[in-house]
Amino acid sequence: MHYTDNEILTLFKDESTRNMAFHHLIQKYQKKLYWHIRKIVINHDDTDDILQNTFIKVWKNLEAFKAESELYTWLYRIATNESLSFLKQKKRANFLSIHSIEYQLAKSLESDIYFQGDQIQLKLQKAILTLPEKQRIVFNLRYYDEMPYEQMSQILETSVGALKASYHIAAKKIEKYLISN
Amino acid sequence: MILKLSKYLMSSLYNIPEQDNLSDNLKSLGLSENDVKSFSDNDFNKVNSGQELNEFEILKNIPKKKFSQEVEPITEFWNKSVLDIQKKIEVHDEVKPYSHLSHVPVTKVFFTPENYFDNLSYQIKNRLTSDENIVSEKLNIFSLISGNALKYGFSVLLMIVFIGIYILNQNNGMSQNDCQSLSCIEKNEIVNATIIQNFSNEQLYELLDEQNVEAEFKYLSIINTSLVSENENIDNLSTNFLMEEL
Repeated sequence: MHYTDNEILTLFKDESTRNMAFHHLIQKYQKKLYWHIRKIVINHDDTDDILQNTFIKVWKNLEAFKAESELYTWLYRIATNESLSFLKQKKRANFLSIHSIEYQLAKSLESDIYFQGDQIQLKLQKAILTLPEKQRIVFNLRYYDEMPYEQMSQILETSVGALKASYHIAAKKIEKYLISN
Repeated sequence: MILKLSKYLMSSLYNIPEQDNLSDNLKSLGLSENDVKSFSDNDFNKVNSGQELNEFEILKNIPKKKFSQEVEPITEFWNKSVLDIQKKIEVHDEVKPYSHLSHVPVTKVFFTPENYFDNLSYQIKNRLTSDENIVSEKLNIFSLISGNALKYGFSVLLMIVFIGIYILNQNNGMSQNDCQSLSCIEKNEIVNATIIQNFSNEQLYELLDEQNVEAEFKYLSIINTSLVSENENIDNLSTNFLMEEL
């Protein structure tokens, strides 16, 4: 049975139905959030860690959630922030520059057992990994998830115009990469 | 309207043939035109009055759902489908100017381990339980720190420390006679020590640099040999001589 976000929130407020509500919340959003995180950090194990941390944060803060924004927006925002801070930590831990972490991620794709794309898909993923982090997120949300700019604007707290511009710049860069490689 | 539009979109996008022809419809139902012709008027009447299932004992006892309850999700489904198709078209149009990118098929390239999502909620719950246990342990430690038992314990410890310091200070006062450091010398002792007349011969000898005195002694011996004969040995030097030397 599928519950709406409001039903989940109402169930979560009640101590006796809190666990059940959280279970339904995980069931409803686990796949969407997983794939969102996976496209940012690439590796499955890292994604698993970040996803679990995201839901733990949700559990701790859902009671204080004031429903000023929609639940899925809030969830996506937590997942995005968790993924970005994970990448920052990784850079700091390995003394890497921004470009080298993306290079490392691209390298790891080739040996990733959970990546089953052909040559052109691998090339596309590598092209996406040359983009700056936020541009990469915008591109993935639009190109793969077909998310409307209005929703994206709420998640990334950026104007629709800026997001559209960012997406087109990203597409241009990827096109250039595909031509030159 | 929405149904028509979505049917049109589905048929144009996925190349689904529209079946308007009656014979085609019958074929898709597994019927021939003869089957329809053999259907008697009585059978049609039964169907029209909704009694066609009366002769089937089990089937007639299964409660029917109201049609209005079922039609709503179908409309929702079509509405959602139309929106999904519109989104796809929008994204496709946006990428159209980029010839290389638009030719890359949008497919699923990442995978997860088998049954990964089946166990995820349990894994998260387990982590939450272990985290809560750690937090409760920390809270227990904190409550112990902030509890009465520790307050009394801490005050007793403070008292012991103060008593210890007091006793140590007393011991220091008693052992002042044995003190070897400059801080132990009283003011009077320092003042008296500066009056050289109060020094004994032995103390004066200690203060002298023997090498300097011998050098001085040799120098003086050159000037006055008689003085040397009387004071050849440094041990024989008088206090007055040493005072002059100093």
